Amino acid sequence: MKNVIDVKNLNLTYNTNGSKPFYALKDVNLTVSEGKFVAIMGPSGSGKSSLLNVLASLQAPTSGEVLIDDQNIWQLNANQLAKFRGQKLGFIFQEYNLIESLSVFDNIALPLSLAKAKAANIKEAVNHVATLLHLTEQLTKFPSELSGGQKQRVAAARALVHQPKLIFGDEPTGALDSANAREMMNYLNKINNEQHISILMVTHDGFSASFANKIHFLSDGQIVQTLERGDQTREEFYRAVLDFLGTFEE
Amino acid sequence: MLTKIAVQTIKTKWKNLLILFAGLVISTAIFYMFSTVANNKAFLTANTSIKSIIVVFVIGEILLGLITFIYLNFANRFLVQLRQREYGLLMMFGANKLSISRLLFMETFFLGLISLVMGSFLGAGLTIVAGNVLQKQLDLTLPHWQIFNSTGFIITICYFIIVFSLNGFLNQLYINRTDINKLLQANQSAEKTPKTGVANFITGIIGIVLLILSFVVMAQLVAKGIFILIALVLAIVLNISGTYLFIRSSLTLVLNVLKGSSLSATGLRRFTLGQLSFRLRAFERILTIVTLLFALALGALTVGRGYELSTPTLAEQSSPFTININQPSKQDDQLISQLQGVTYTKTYQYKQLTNEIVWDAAQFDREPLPYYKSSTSDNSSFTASVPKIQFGNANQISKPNPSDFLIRKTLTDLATATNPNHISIGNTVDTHKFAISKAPVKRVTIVHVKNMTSQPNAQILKKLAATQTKRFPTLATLGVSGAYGFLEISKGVFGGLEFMGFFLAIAFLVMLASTLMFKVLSNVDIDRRRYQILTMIGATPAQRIFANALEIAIIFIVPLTIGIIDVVYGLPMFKALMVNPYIGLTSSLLIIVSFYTLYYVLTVIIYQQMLKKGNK
Repeated sequence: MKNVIDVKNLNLTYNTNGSKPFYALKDVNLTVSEGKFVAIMGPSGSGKSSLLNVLASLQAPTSGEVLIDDQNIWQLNANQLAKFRGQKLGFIFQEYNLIESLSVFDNIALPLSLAKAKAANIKEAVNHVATLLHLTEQLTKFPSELSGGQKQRVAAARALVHQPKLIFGDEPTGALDSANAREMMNYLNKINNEQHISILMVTHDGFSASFANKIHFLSDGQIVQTLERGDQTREEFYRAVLDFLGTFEE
Repeated sequence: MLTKIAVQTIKTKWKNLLILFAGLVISTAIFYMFSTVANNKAFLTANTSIKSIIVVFVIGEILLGLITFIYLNFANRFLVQLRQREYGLLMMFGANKLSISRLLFMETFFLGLISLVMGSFLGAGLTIVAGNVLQKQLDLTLPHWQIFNSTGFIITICYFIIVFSLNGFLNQLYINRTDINKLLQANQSAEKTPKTGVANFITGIIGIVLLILSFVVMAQLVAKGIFILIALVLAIVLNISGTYLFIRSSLTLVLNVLKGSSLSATGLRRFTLGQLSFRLRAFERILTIVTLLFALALGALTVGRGYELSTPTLAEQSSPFTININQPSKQDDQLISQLQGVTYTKTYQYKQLTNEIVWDAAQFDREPLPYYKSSTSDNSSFTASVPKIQFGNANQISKPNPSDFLIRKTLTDLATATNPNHISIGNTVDTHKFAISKAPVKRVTIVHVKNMTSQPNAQILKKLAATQTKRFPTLATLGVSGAYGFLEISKGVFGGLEFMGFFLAIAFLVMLASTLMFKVLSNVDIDRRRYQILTMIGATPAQRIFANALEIAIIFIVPLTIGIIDVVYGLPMFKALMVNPYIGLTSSLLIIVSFYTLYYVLTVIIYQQMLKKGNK
């Protein structure tokens, strides 16, 4: 199966001027196959967010290669990178990152507007994802008029609307209560299964991670363990994750 | 501990505080500048012939006071916004509301006090620079000009202390009334959602109606001098409330129409429109006062320029020659030869008898005498153009047609310097009488230049006039004849108004820049996240910069447009004071719009820098 993400010997260091550089990421190698849902777990400061930022082309690595859909993203210039992000990537964040000055419709439509899609096509695509994520009633509202769960669904709709290759999730359930978190994960699962969009999600929450096919555990900037879901049900995988976390944190 | 935290805040948020502080200092400085002139009654009355000038300045001071009040109120809320999360945290850790609100009061008050002191110095500095540069530039010496006026200073101090105390008190009230949770989440709270719906539609229409009404009142009542004071106040009230509602509601209507169109779907257009509908709501008060400041700056400059530009024209209309040099010396001839753009130079001979001046007729046939035809319309002096110079021979001088009678005036004006009684005695043009008279022959040279205010002409004419006045004491009271003499007298009459126009324009323009720039830049923190989101979604750097520049451009264009319309409709109010109030409009517009564009570019650059810095 083709890899949508291929990371080779990735390093990210800080304070390189000093005598001893600090490794936020150390020699990370990672692949995500097309259509797969992969989670990255680890304690605070383990390098989860740094890894996501580098993969999502938001922060340049010190060394190593990041291939997304066969494209070495760090060889692209700022404009090419922007276009690449606009076409291939979608983002969902803990703090929703919606633009408060735009209505729900306009927030979702943004990636398509940027890609200069036709108005009619934009409307169709937005309505499609809004139906999928149960947002049809909210389209004319502004983000400030929505609940946390609804905001995160809007963020998911925006990440999905342009049919990207890959969605990055940075603690997408971090700000949600358990019911909304479960609902959100079900939607992500649906997106992954029905739209065949790959997902790479960073989380510290075992429950959210149990929706993935594979979980990489990160500690001090290095991948120290990987769990595969295989044929296990989500509940079984969740228990396996909790068991592992018990030993991992010791 | 609380002080330590306050100092720490200043360290971390110094850039935001610097913008706030700069805004406060500039507003104090401008208020001081204005008060210094407005309260210098000796200066105002000595330099204008207009009785109501003091009333105009009192209205101006009230208006500026109002503008400053709104501005300070806004700046104050900005300060609270910067600090409130921290206050929430402190309260959560057990600090009581009383000490927190006292701290905020002290902060507001001291920040105000420091800016008051610095602003007063800056104001005095600006008054010196603006005053001296302008007087030099406009070639004026104005009596009773001061850079410090005790009444003006006291008014400035009292006004600002009152406003800062009031703001401090309002802050205290706010902190006391707001619960901790709200304070903690203050930074995340969204901006006001733009209003749509029927109410907004109605206020939008009312806004347009009020604006139009204000123009009607200006053009129909104030300009025609009907109930002038009441009409003036009515025009101001209608205009300000109209502008406010227009920005608040009418523009939202326009934005909604644009948002609905399919054209807005591509690129970041929707984003820009969305930003604007939020911004206009948050900016409604600031944009109203910026519009007012823009109109005041443009209006003041136009009137100033109007006097500057129309006095040479009026002077040109007064005489067909620029200057007359009696008994020209070699040095005079040399100076005359250096003049540029000379239309003609003519020298005539005359003999001065006890009761008349006798001119050789033959010389006028050789060198005809310049004059203006008298205009047939009654409003001749009210036209802005200079009539064509005519030339008449001896016969025309002796027996002029009714329309050529002004040729006699030219003749009378020629030999003023050598004859103290030149008005009462006759001028005879007679070759024979000239030949037989034993009186000594005297000469007078007249010159006409196309432009007497440009260099080197202005300098040379000044020298020529000075030597003439020195040689002929009569001129000390009479002044030299010709257009140049008229120009010098006009400067004494209109120079004060001209100066005040320019001076006020500078003050309003600086205040405008500081207000608008401050308000726009105070949004960087809110916008930074939005632009980061756009980056993630795939907006290119160029798209982001363009969207930002366009958004700021539209915010800048709103006051510009309304301000220009205000001035176009407001200028007829000055018809009573000047020949053609519009004469200075084009050049003033050019000057003000250039400065305004410069502010715009500067704001966009600073905005981009601040956005970038935050990203690191």
